[in-house]
Amino acid sequence: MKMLILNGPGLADLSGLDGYADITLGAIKDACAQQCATLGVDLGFRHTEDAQQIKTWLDEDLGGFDALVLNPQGVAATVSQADRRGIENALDNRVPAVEVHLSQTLANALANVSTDGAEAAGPLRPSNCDLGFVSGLGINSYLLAIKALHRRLQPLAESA
Amino acid sequence: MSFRLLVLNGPNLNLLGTREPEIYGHDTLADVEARCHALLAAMGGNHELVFRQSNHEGELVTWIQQAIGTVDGIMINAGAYTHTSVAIHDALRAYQGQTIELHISNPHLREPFRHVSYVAPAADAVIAGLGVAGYEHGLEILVRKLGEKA
Repeated sequence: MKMLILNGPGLADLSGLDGYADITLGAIKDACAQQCATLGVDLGFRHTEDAQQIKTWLDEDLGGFDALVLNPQGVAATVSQADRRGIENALDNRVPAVEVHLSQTLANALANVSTDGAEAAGPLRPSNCDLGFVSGLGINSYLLAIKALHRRLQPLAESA
Repeated sequence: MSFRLLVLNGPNLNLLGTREPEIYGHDTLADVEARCHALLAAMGGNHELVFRQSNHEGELVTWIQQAIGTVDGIMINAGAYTHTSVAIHDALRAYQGQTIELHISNPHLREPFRHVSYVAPAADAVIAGLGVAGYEHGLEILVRKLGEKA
């Protein structure tokens, strides 16, 4: 089983992330590598500060993996709605995925809702993707996602 | 270290296994509860789990209120009340322990009226779209978080 973990803009320096300032991307990578090694999962771990690079990786490389963990931190804040939609489209009809966040990104969810109910920002919404969502657990958000995807895919791997 | 844990389930989750199984799966809520108890037993630590379901908003509010000062962590799948209940939001605000919001499906991929959560702003973490396995994953992480804080 091969799992791709993609990290988006804003994760190079977490010192300003309230409650998680002591976490580094290197520590996240090490924890994910250990979790994957325990489960027998081959890990691809990548980070970019260029949101459009995420779409490129999804388009060009996701086919080589069985599952995806995506931390799109900064995508909503740094790219246009069209680019965000491009990332969502790149998830459609692909592998099972989990969107993860270190912090509880929905803590201000009600503030992001305008009077007509439309959200200014929020979780990714691909139209046809088996996409889970985990936020607010720090590094454990990643570890839970890896475990959940492994559990989901394990019966398929055993029957293959 | 042992913890007192409360798993709350909102409206229609008593129909789990028969209601829209293409979305929620074929496991019943009793199946899920049994697996949660088995998980805690396997983890050791003599944790106490109370697993409840109600179709009534006020009953859920009462259970959250009763958890204040008596329960270490709550995992709540408020079902449709997630998107409407200021009362549950306020009760969770009054609760000082760890809180995880849980959903079997990913509400953000469904109808727009499910995109708003009144639970999330009162929760420490959100887990959604991992199927009924999310209950076990959430419970395991809840115990781990409580252990880190102890």
